[in-house]
Amino acid sequence: MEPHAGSSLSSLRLSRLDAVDFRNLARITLVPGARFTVLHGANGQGKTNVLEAIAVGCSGKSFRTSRLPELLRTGTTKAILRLRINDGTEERVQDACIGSGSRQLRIDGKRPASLAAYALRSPVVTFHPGVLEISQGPGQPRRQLLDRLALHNDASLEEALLGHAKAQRSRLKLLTDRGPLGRELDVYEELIVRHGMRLFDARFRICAEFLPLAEALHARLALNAEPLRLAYTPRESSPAAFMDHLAERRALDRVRGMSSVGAQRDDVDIFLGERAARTHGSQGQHRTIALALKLAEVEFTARLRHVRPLVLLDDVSSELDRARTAQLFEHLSREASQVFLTTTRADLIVTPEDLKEGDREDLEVRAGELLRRGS
Amino acid sequence: MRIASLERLQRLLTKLPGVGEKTALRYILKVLERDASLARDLGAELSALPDRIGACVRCGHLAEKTGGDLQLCAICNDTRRDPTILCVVARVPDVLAFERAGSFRGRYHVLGCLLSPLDGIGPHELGIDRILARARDEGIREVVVATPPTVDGEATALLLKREFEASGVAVTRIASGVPHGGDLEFTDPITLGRALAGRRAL
Ligand SMILES: Nc1ncnc2c1ncn2[C@@H]1O[C@H](COP(=O)(O)OP(=O)(O)O)[C@@H](O)[C@H]1O
Ligand SMILES: [Mg+2]
Ligand SMILES: [Zn+2]
Repeated sequence: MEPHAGSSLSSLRLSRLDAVDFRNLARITLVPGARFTVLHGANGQGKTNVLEAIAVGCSGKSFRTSRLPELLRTGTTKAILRLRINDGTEERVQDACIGSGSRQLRIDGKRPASLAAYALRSPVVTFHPGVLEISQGPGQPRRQLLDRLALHNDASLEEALLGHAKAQRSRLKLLTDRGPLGRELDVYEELIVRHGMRLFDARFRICAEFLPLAEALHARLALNAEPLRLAYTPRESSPAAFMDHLAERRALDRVRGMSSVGAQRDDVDIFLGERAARTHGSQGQHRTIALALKLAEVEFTARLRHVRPLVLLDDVSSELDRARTAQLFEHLSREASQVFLTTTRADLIVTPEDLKEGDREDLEVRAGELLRRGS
Repeated sequence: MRIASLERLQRLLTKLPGVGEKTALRYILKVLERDASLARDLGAELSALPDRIGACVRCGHLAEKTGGDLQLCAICNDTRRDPTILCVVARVPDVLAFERAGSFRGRYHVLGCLLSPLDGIGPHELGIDRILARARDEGIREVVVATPPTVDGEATALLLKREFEASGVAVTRIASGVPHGGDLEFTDPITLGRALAGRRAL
């Protein structure tokens, strides 16, 4: 797949966000720029909270917590988000009402069939400083990236993700409580294999297109540098071998108190030239790989959903040098995604020069309020 | 002013599913408004309930007690039912759902729970031995597993399959898919995915 081959796609546009009692935002209305919204201000003012509100409104989930009560403004019991969104063909209103133990989601007043069904409608890609570690640390963020894309491709995969995790936890509980024998163990291992094989298969199919795309983007970002090579090989090759591995590792997993077999062990191997990037890459090289992977996620999400996702950049410029920040903006501008970013230094955010009136909106966030320039 | 007996009843009512404090209070005020016989009849029926209805000793479905002794339920007693086919469900409401539909002509077995290592529920709590004994004693030829399509529901189904493996009893699983008359548009992705995975040749 060629980068930018699908530039005729329309872009998701958020035209208005209302938030009530979300984190430190008592009541805000955000009218974003058509292309860029720059949220600036001192630390701890609520800039990231605004991005989080957009993410929760679009996907029902936060990128920084899985605990709903954290999202409620201290002393309140309900947070309300309303987003006005246009995907190029229709305008819709998405409502997310968060209680301490529940969330109510609505699209044009109608209840979606599930959380996954809601999240499919308005795709969002988030960059935050932690993302820049994606090529260095443990495999979890790399797996999560693949799974996010796989879910956009096939939302029913959620069943395999949750099922695999629960079956693994159940197996471990059986091992610790009752030892390495028993029909129940066989049964939960059969379920691990059933859900795990589905995950391997889904990740494999995503990688076949996504990895070459990320490699191509990397070649554009790092002109004369060693080529990036990404490789995914599912941990288990067949259901029978998978079953055998689980059975073989019962005693060991019991002692360790964790599962050493399954889809949670998957990874994407990253090479620069012939060498493993994890051990040999420089800081700068890792940042470029992370950029390539995230830009590929934006592009690939657009392909899968037939609409360009919203892009949320949280404090990214503080971690990227000037040259890479410029590259990032150049790519995002060409992609025409609507971008929301936070920074403590608005003057460092250089957007393309050919922007039209209303394309860029700069807002200061101060103590949970949005202030327009001069107000 | 607080009325202690009213609050006591209110607290009891809120133990019921879907009844919060406000709803409980509404119920109480309604009963007070009506003729006193409503309150007395309700009370009498409720207090007699545990003596009148219990779990069927064979299948676990609701059964009427006579003379305080546990009896077989109406389904186990119904001789027109096909004795060779047994439908295994998790809960009593599942039996009621099948019975409302009326399409199943065999008998039931209510597990009361699902396999769940995380909650400490194993084959013993499920009463697997009781089902095996029933199959033997009643000449059952097919066991239809109608547990929910969750991880624990599937695990329960797989366990039953394994337990019956050498017995000559066929173990089948109900299909899962799109509700009749349901718009595909409003069906959740997981259900749609299952319906697709379980597709059949025409
Ligand atoms: N649930 C909450 N209720 C009220 N305030 C909150 C809540 N969660 C976080 N905050 C406040 O939000 C502020 C941090 O917001 P954040 O968006 O992370 O800041 P920044 O502008 O640095 O991105 C802190 O002042 C914190 O106390
Ligand atoms: Mg922040
Ligand atoms: Zn019975």
